[in-house]
Amino acid sequence: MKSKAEKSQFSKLISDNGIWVVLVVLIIAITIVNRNFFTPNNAVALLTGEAVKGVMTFGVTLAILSKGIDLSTGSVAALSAICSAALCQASTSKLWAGLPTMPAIVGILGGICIGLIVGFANGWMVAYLRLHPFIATLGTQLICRALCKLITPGPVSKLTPGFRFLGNGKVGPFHMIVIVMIIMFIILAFMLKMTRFGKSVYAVGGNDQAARVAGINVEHTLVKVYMWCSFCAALGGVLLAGRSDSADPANTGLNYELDAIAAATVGGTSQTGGICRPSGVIAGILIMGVINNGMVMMGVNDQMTFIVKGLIIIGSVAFDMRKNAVKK
Amino acid sequence: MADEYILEMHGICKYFPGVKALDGVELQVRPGTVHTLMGENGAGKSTLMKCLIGMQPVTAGTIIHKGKEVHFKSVQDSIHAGITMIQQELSPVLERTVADNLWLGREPMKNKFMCDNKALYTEAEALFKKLNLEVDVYAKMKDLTVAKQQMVEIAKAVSHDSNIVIMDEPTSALTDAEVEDLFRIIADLKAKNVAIIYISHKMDEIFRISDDITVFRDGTYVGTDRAANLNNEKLIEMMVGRKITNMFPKIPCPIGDVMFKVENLNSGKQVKNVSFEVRKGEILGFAGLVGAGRTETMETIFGMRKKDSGRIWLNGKELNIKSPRDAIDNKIGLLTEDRRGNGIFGLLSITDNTTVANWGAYGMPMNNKQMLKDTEEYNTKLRTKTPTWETRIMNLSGGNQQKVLLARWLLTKPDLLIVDEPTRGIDVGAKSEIHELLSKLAGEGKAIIVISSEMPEVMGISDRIVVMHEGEMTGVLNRDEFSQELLMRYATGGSAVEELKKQQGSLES
Amino acid sequence: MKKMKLFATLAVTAAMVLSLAACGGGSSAAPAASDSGSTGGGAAAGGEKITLIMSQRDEFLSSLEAGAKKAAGELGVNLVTQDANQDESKQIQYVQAAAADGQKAIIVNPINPSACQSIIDAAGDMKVVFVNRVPDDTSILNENAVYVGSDEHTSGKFQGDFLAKYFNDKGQKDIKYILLRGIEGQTSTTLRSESVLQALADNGINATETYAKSCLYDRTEALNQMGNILADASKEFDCIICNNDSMALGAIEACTQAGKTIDFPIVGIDATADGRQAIKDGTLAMSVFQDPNGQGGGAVAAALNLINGDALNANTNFEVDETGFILWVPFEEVTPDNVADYDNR
Repeated sequence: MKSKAEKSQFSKLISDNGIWVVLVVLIIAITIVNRNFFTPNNAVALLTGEAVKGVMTFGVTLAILSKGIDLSTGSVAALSAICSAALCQASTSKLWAGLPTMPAIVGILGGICIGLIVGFANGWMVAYLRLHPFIATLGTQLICRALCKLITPGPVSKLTPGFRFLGNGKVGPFHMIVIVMIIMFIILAFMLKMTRFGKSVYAVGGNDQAARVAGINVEHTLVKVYMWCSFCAALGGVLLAGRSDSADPANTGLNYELDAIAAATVGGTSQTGGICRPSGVIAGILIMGVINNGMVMMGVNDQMTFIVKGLIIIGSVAFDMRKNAVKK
Repeated sequence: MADEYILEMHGICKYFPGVKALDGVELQVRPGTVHTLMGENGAGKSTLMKCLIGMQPVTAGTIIHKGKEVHFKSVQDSIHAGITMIQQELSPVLERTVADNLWLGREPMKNKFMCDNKALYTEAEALFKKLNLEVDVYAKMKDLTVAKQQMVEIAKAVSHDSNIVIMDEPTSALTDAEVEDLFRIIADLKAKNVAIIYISHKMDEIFRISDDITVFRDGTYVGTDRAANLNNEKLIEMMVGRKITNMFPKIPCPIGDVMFKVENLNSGKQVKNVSFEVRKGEILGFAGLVGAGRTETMETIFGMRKKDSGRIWLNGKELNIKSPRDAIDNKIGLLTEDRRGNGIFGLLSITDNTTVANWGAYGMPMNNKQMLKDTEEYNTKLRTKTPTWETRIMNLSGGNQQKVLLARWLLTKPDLLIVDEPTRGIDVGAKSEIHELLSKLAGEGKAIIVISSEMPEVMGISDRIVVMHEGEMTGVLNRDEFSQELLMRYATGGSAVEELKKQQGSLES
Repeated sequence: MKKMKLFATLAVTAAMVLSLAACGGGSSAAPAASDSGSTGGGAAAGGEKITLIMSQRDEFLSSLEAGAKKAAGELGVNLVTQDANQDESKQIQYVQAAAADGQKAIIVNPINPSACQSIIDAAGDMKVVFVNRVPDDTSILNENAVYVGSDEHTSGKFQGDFLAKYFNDKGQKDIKYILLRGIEGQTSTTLRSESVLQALADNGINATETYAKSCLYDRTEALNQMGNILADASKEFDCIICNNDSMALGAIEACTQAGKTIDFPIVGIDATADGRQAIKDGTLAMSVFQDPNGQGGGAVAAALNLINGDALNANTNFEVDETGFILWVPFEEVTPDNVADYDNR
């Protein structure tokens, strides 16, 4: 009888942290094929490569947790990247020729402000106009991408070193972009575990009627959720511009929203709302990164990468559904 | 021996992670009888039935149906074998018609590909006629009352030609007249040698229809006996494991000044010109039939529903409540009727569910330790049974969920506590505990409003009773005026004397 | 299920409303162009209305559009532009709309070079000028349907010739390369990749692939993928070949971030402003200039010539190929030696 209980404890531990098991298995498998995978160099490449999507995932996680979705994050990142980059262009051939080069902080805050505005619009439409989040954010996705192309036909590049610091700089041996991701993760985890807002998101996502009765302002909560989501996206845009020294209206952040949704989902954030563990989200991001990076390491062709990603997304959701169904 | 029972379940165990829902449970059902399962909520009745029909796999134990050992892998399997269950929580396809729902998944076919829509409706009509029920088969399911929806479910079960029909609290949403219909159908089924497994908490109806009674407690088997050998007290003792002397422990306490007052409250068609007051230390009951507007009145007071006109005072101060948050901030609490719909957060822990209405009080960052401490304090006081405080509330029984919700509202330290059907679907033990608690709260100087459709309950615990009918108040009774006849007269509209006589006639018979 | 359907329908509707709004924006910009066009007045067909349908508006195609507008102003053409946004059916719709409007010629930057016949069919009596992307089947071209653009076969050839010369001078015959490809399935990606490898082989270089990866013509994607590749020390290479400058710039950035000295050639195509700056900085070895102004202007001129029955290359500096239905706008090699010449083109 006791061994049975122990066994169920163990299997519970595994099923609760299945995502980390998958991650470890993936890492071991790829390392067997190519020893160079498990090196500090590659860890840096993997983390710096995934940091932007990671930050954006932290945003969309909250939207999914509230039983919503945000499709606009990729476009918001692009818009933020372009506007902030244009404010901090170092070269003589500037997008806005008359504008003096701004200090980095102005550019960064400028980009983030744009994100917050779009986020407010998304949240307002979802909370007060009662639009389905899919529709509301699809609309802003198209609008933001179009605004990017209206602002500039080509890439905005040659940015000031100060502005690039967040995306490209280093503090000692540590890459700033990874530090930013870690800070954002800590903020997310703190918010979900330790603040009233975070708990309200769980409540609204789990049962919005009950949340209303329990005195939670559902509308305000939703607006804040989408503002956070776009804030993360805009910060991601600033990082992207800094990292690649350019912001491209057509390509920057293109389809990033889908990668972010996929990472959050693989990390166990349920599309039915109300379920999310911050540790799972970080595992989800790492898994997507390991696949991207590992397929290069193994020399597998592009399409295989997508097939593996697709299978992992489907598999993880199926696993999750089963787990939650059993619990009911 | 084998032929004596249509169904035998031996040594059934069912473990969930961290919870033993069933531990060696026995059940033997004779054909053509009504076999009632009794036990407090969480005793494992519903779980046992879910195991029987293949919704959940058993951890251990054998099931013998018609003398053969069976393992149902899905609900389809069990329906095929002639076992149907009418769930406590109905899940009809609301946007489709009654007939569509009735034949869902087994529509009469014209040929391989096309449904026979004509037969769909004519067969449905024939079925209801046979059962002597009045249901419009063309109506959309969503336009039916819960009671009518239930009737459709029952008709569905009958139409499967089942040999065992399981009814999980079928009468909890039915009016007296509808209950009579149900009992008539049950009698018909019995006559056709169909066994009925009946789950209910209502003593009077159990003794009226049961042949055998099996009692569970905390997932274990207590015993089975013929209904004729049992009585109310014996049964309760078996269920609770202790004697309950008073179902409605009303602690007399001094009633103070007017604490809460409502004047000419209006909201849509459901609340018309409602005015009443509650005094400090008083329990005010609200009686009426389903749809009388009692719930809507409370929702309007609580800011869940738009107020068209009317004024509200608490402690002499006029309140302008626009949202539940306003109400909570003004020390009003509302335990809603629809526990699942707008009460619990199924996916969240007991701790979160207990503290949710009070989150503002835990600072920033939130003091998780204090939250846990409060949860423990209040839930221990209410005797909530749970493996841990981190358990998801959906894993608890209905009665324990209700206690957590009560803890939630007590934690906000309200002056006025409104409880809407606080004991619906709750076992007797928990029921009397909740009654005692409400009485105690009144004694502490709070004002309490209780909505209940169970007449003995509302008469047992209230100091005064307001009766509503179709959105209007039809009468206010003081404790010395309480009588079922009077309540019924007001509840049916007051002036309908003919109706009253009929009611009395049926009550006497 | 029903809910899903509803959402899908709503999503499509929302997309339609928004894209219509976007089109409105696009066409409302057109009268401004025509105003400037009419000032050029009097010349040739005097305000002939011609629609230019773009496959999309990236940096290069936006320059092409600007070049076309400039030429339209000079030639007195009323040029209207539409952006099909990579949607083939939308492209056909715009063609049909122009035909219904009674326009005599149309300029199309085809989305799918293998489906150009359908554009000719939709154009009916209109003359069709394909620009920038050559139809896969050039036999469909005739006196009513012509192509103006550059020969993608030669863009990669410039890269290949440059690299061959570089390695031959070093006396190295066997090289390993990394190839950053554009969007898979696009003709430009295929032709650029094929032709650079062909040119290397033709020049006696034995090139082996270390890794080839699609980076979607995108700088960040190239930065990420190159970062992954560089992290694997076992992946040796002598040069990085990129299908465009954006990806080359991403690769350069990745090398910088990984602390790898760029002592090997990185080659790109397009000679964008950032690309030319990198050539000046010495990080990008060479690029290939594709002349957007020449393509845009040439297309407008060709359209007008078709309407007026003039020679295809009248009013242009470009050559017509032997069939007479293709107007070649040549690619040009951009190296540190001549990069300054391109600053104002």
